[in-house]
Amino acid sequence: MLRSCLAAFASMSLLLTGCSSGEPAGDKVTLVVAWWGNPARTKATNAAIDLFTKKFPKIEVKVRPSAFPGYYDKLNTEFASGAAPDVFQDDQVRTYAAKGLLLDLGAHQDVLKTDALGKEFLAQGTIDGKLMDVPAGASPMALVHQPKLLEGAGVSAPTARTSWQDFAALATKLAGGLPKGTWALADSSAQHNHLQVFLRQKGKDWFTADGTALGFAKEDLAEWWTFWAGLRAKGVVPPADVTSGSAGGDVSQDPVAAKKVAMSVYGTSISLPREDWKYGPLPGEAERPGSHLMRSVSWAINAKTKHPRESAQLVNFLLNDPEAGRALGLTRGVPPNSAIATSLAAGLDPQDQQIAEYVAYLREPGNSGPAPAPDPTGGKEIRSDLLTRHTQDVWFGKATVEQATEAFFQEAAKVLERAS
Amino acid sequence: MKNRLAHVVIVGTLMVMLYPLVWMVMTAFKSTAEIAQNVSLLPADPTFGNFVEGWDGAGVESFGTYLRNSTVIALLAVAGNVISCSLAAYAFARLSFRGRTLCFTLTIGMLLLPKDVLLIPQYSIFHALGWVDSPLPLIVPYFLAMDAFFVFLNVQFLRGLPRELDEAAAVDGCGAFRRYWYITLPLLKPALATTAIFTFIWTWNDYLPQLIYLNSAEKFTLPVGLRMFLDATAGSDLGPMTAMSVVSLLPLFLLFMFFQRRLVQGIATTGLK
Amino acid sequence: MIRRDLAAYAFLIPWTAGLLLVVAAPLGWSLYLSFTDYDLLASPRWVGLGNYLELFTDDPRFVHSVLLTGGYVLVAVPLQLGAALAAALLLVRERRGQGLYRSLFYLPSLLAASVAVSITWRAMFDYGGPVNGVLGWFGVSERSWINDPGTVLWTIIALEVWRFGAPMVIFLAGLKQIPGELYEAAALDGAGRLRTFVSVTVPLLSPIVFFNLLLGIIGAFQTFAPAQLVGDGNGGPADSTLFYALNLYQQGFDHQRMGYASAMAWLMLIALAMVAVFLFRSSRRWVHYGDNA
Repeated sequence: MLRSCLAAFASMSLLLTGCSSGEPAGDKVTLVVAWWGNPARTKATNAAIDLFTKKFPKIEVKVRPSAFPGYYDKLNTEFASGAAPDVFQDDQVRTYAAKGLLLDLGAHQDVLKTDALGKEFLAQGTIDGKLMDVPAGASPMALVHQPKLLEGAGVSAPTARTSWQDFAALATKLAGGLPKGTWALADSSAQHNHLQVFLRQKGKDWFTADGTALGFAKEDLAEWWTFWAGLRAKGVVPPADVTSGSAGGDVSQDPVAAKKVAMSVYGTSISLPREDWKYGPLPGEAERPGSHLMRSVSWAINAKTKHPRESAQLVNFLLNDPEAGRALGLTRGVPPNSAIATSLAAGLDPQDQQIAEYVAYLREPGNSGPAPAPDPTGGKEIRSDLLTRHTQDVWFGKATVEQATEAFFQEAAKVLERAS
Repeated sequence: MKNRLAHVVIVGTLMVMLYPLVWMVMTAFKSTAEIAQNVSLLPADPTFGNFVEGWDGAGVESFGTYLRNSTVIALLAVAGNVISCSLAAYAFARLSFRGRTLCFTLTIGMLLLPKDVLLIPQYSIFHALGWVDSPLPLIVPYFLAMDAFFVFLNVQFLRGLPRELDEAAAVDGCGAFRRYWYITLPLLKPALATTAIFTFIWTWNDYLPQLIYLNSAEKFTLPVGLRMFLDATAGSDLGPMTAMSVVSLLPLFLLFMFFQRRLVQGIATTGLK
Repeated sequence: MIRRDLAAYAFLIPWTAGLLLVVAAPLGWSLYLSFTDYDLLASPRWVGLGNYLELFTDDPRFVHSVLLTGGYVLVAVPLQLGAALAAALLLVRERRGQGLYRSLFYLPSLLAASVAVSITWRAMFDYGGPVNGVLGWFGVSERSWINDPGTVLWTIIALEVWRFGAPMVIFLAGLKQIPGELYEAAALDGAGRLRTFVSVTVPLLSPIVFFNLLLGIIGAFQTFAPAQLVGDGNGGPADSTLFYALNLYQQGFDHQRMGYASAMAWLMLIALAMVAVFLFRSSRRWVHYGDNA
């Protein structure tokens, strides 16, 4: 009621001031597209959209690039006022789909072609059998290492067949040969994507398939934290006050970017200094792979858009047009359209080539696991906020592993209950 | 002798206080990779590239556009605050009227408001007015004396000043507006200079409203533009970000240098009392 | 009488318009929201006192953020105002280079909420930074002051004290406003420096002290940006930078619980109102206004 009062009040003042927002003249259709990303992604996306408007002169596209901080705050504010963009980048499909805010993309399959995109990608945007957003790229986890440091210590890089115990031993051996201020391995305790691989290797996952509960047991989390605590005590991974600077903060300042570690489990869409790092599969993957072709971000369409068809055309163009693919490159990770991914390979610099090869490797059957169902609403809060906070409690001795596990499960249950 | 001691104390304090700023300026000449790895003062491999890349404005608009937009918005906010806050302060400090206590209490109350929560309903109103993606939501409130900080500041200054002049003028039949214009405004100059400079600086750095209300890149302001270099999930361009932070602080510093005399010019020098 | 009132109201036209448009209506809306469950994406759902009950009975982080913020206010505000007043007294006399000095003292405050503060402060207080360097001379072992939950709050306090420019400028303007004759008279009476300070400067500066104190306290209660820039932005490490305002923002936007955040906002409003009333009451005893002398 208050809302309509506000609106009435506002429209009254609108009359008084004589302003009006007005629709653009002519039969031109205007789409608003929003995304977040660093300058490289923004430039590439602008270029791809320019190609689109050249091909579809009747469609005008207003771009709304943004930084990651504040992106969702603004998007949610706009949804609250019915002012959200037509097409937007997201990484929490269920949050929006559950409120009926996303267009069912399956209904526009005549313009938005999904057959070249690969099931493992589409599954990550599918809810109750409906395609609600489409992944724009892959950012699977990889094991990165600095070959120079490993060779210097006479250690050979781990492979998918290395077990976690052997890997820990290898890291411990490596630690002995490294200079002060450099550690063998980055501490993954608070890395929710790495934890997911760990869980999936055991046949579990972050959430149950229906998204109503956590998909693992307290013992699993305790085992995870204990594994890392052991390495920390031995000085194989950096002490907590080195690692915690980046937990929940900016990846540009974490121990990997600062080259303070020789190895780390890391996302493939994160930029690293060129030439210094090699990418490969995680340990323990041979038996039952826990990695999957995790989408970096996805494209979604506002359910209330006035131009669903044109919006779908744009998303289709960004995903399937070879020229657009060239313009976008790997700025959202390796493209889900495998034909485009292959065509890009030749033009990539050596590091991007490694990433593309790694993604191609995961695409081969048996090298990665099936995609999990999209996270429940609140999934992001649980995976990043809760995990980071309780990990830090363990790091700084504010809680034992048992206490932190207990607290984590309690709070996660509350978040999930609220969301359902 | 005593004077020299004061200089020594001042310079010594300044050296400690300004070290972080010097570090920041130096860091603008380090590459993004070096920033993550090297916390020492001097760049190992000085580069001017950050400024070139940063001026490019994160691939959307030139940084000059952000500078221009921020300047326009900050200047209009200054004009709004100086006019509206002095008007309101005059009424509160010099006129007696029914409801004065209530209105003044409300002004103080406005200081206590948590702005983030009001953001959503305010956005709805400005959206209904068709003002989103224009600088209006960032400017109009200043013309409506909504910056209670400055209303209060001016009231406090006025109350510290003797009111005999005002009263004498009233006895001579001088109307309220003329008294405001000819007597109060000249007296308020230091407070108004403070209002102006703080408004400029705070608007220059104000992030959240500018982020929420501006959509088109050609309307972006400095704080929004600076954050365009940041992507916590895929890697930030810290070098260009630092370089452009330095660039965006430069006009503020010059402005402050230029105006600081006005800030501290007391009434003692205006020949009153 | 009516004429007089009308003149005053004329001066307050912009203020009244603003009050209705950008404050009263949104404020009423947020009061309503505080009794609802509202995720921004669907319509608000009435929950009565549910949010308030949860805050007081089932949210240890809320209690934690209240205590943390209260402690911070008690430490940071006196330190910052003390530094600002000391600097203002040092800089008030006209001497060579004073203009440049004033500008340089103000320089850190220009940074206010600039994002570059984030990496700068990190570099100052992290491994290899100057703070560790200086403390190393005294045998303090190297550590990351900024990443450790036990010390990060002090780096935020240091940041706030460092940026004392705004209260300093206001003190300076207040000091300049004190008529020189009063000092001359005090000198004639043979008063020493301390005596002059206590019986001339302090009472005449008291409206400005009151202003800075009230605004300092209110500002410190709402501290938000430094926790985002210096901490990890989520209140970490280990909730050691979970200021009230940051907690509120996180609940409202990150966790999309705008109803809950609105309830927190109203509690803060009430608490701050009580603090303000207390300060205004006490001010009658120690603040001297020129206009009712």
